Amino acid sequence: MKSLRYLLKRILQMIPVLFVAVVVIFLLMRFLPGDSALATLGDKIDPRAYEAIKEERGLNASIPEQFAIYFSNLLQGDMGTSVIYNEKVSALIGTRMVTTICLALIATIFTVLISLPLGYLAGVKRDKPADAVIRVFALIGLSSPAFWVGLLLLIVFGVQLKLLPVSGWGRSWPAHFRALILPGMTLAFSSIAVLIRNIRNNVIDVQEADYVDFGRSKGLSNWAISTGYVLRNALIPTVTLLSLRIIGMLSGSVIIENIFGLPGIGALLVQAVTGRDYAVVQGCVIVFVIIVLVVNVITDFLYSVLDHRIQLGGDEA
Amino acid sequence: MSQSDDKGFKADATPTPAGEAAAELAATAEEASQPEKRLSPFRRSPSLLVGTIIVAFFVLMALFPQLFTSGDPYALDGSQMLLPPSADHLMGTDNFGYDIWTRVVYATSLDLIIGVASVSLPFVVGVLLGLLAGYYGGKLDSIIMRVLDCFVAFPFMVLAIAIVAILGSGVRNLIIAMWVVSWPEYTRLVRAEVLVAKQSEYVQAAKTLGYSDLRIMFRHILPNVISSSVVYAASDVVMCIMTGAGMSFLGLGVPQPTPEWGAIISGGKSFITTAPWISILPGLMMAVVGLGLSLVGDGLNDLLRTKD
Amino acid sequence: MPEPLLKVTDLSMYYKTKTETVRAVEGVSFSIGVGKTFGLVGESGCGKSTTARSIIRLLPKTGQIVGGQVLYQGRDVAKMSQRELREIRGKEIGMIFQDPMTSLNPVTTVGKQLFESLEGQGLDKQGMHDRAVELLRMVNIPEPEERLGNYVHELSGGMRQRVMIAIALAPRPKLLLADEPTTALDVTIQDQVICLINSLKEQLGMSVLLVTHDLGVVNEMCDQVGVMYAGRIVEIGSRRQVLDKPHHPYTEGLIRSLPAEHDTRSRLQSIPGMPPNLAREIVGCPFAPRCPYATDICRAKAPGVVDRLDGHLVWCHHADESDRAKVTESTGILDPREEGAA
Repeated sequence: MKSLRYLLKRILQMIPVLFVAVVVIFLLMRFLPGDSALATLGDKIDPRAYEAIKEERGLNASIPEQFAIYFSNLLQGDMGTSVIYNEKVSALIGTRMVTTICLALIATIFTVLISLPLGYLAGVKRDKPADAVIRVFALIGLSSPAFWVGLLLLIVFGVQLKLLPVSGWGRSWPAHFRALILPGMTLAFSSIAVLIRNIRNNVIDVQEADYVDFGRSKGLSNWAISTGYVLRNALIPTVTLLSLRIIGMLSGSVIIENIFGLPGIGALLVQAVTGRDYAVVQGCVIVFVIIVLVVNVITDFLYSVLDHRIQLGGDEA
Repeated sequence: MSQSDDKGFKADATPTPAGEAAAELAATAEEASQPEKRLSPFRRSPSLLVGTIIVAFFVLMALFPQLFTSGDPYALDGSQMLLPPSADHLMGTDNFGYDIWTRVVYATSLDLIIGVASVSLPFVVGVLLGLLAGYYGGKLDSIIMRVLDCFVAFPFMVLAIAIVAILGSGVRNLIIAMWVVSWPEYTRLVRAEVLVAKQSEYVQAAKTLGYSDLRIMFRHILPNVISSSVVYAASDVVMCIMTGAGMSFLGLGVPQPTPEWGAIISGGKSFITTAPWISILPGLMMAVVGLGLSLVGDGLNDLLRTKD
Repeated sequence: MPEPLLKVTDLSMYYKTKTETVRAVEGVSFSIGVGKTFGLVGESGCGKSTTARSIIRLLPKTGQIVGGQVLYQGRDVAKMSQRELREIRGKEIGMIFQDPMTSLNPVTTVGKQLFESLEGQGLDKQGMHDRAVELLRMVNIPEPEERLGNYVHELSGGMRQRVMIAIALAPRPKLLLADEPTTALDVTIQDQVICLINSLKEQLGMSVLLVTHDLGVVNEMCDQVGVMYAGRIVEIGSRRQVLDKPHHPYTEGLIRSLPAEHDTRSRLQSIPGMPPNLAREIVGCPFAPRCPYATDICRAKAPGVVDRLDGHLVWCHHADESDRAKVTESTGILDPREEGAA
């Protein structure tokens, strides 16, 4: 009950931020040099066609009026029409959103599965060879540009070994999954590095805690100590970091989707920007903001589950 | 302690024994913030040494590209297309016949400028806002933090792309986009530390003495809260270089044919099966720059944070 | 004489790092009989906690037992495998720590931490629950049923110390290592905890190794006392022997630094000087630099043991008081005891 109320409260808190983001994006798009009507027509400017398009899209109304119309449409799920695809923006985004979310999800899973054991191992084997190797790996992960790592993986696994598809999304779920492995690894690469370093340092701190000694003095097995005492405590600060990284991955997905030819909203956004398809740009940005806010709520929730010292519904910063 | 209390102290700041003690405390805080010079920082942190050497190497390359290559980054040679690396072409040539090594060398200055320029303004503005928000608290704090909330609601790349969509591509607009997305982290870091520092004895002492808010903020608090931002800035330069190169990779950053790492790597995308060197080798260079800057960040972290 | 429960013989424990070796415990011997309380006293850093931790080998990675035996019921703990060690830890030898605020796992409930200690006793779920409640009641925790569901941060310091004791006692250990169990607590709570440990000891027929710097606590709890300085035991004997008739100048100093109950006028005297750096080799008696009776022999040669009476052992060249008086005369140093009386 308590947690449900908390969840509801956090969702309500999201609304003003989302509203402001929508307003900001709307205004930014209205202050564009050259408007979308011009963009649609390209170079051949026929004043009558121009006026017609402006009229059709409601561009002659005042800005507050335009916003009111835009916003009420938005509430009904209508984000306007793409000038390139000549399709509803909501329809364009709908299918692509699944791709992007799956990509971020699989990258998150890779990140956790790889950084957790490695970070823990480095922390436990502090200053031993294993630690040194893992730290060097993490340093390389931090320093390498994602698009380059993506191309490398593509060359090795896609082109040379022919293990995984080089590009595209596939038609079935198994194919989707295979298509997501390389982009997922690429996206996870730097996050793995960041998390390894974080988990390692936390493990080192926690290992010296009195309660770990007390646990050992109780004769608990190494497994019980590592999981219930060391990891449980070491991971609390990591959760916040992971949520920041997931949001970072959404940024990364824009590039990764382009490299691997995945039909996600990141790729759509870039196409829309290059093609000056402003309704689509607007729609993509809003959807990204919504995903970020949802990730934040989930993280807060997870955090309070992991650490009961954080009072649910507390207002502290 | 509320705002009005501070003012009250200031109004009747007569020297008292307690006040003198406070003066001493405040003075030590000012002294303590002076950098100490005992052991050379490089001795204390090998990462800093290695990182600095790497970064210095690339700075040299940025300043004097002629030292590293005799070629011209814009020289096209149609007879020399898609050649693998050799003594003549250290990193091979691309589909236009550009010598990749030469272009990579000449791209160094632009990429480093993008990295440093993208970080400098957000660093200053972000730190100032964090200082103000943390020190004054109250309404100013809520306003700054709510604005910040809106900025961080966007994935930075998405916001950067949206800004480039509005302003158009190009180096200047790219840097502006980075300015917009980079400042919140500095504000958050500094604000959190100011909130702690505000409670410390030396700040309370300085307040008792009736020092002005400006003096307290800049001479007492700032030197004690800036270190985490400095450390973060080192990694932020890496991130900005990569984001900038990423934007160019997407075709939204530096326009062709200006030599830029991301753009060069992007140019090799279509040739990864036939001429993989076009993408791999320049990427390696970027990774080395990133490594150097990461090591500098780690080194600064060792030096600045182990004090407490 | 019956076989003692724990017999520590010539135990040495060093912290070894690349750059230095800290001789934290050097040649320590003592034994604890069934149902007895043995106190290890000394200033902080003298190796008393390390000694206690060595008994169940709860040491940091740099810490190594380099010599001696720790015989628990005749078996040498120092030579046990990790597996055998786990069998001993908790079940045979329990331990409680100094700081109740940091010694309990913050992410799980009191109940779960109690259950962990009850595993292996063949109890079913209900049985465990009942036993956990019983344990909390035993350490005087009000509303024990509800406390089971609490997280550590929801309890006060005194409560946490009681919970820690309950957890340590859950597997019914025969020996309890208590590392400064009262130091972090308020004075009123300290007394309660002392009484609690004393009565539980009686009730369960348990032995206790008490590590403390507080001679008052020793006086209330211990049968035998060992005084440690610079990693060694310098004086050992029954509580009466050591507290009433101390023979080592260090023990004297410790007693003198206590606020005397009857004599409110005398000022507190702390022992001047600092304990030696254990990373360096110590020549002669480690206490010599701070000792008012020190002579050339003290600075040159480590003292051998002197048996004063019935197992009251002292490691001091001048353990004999008549001998000490002579030294005082010849060096012209006032006997601090006389000074205090003046």
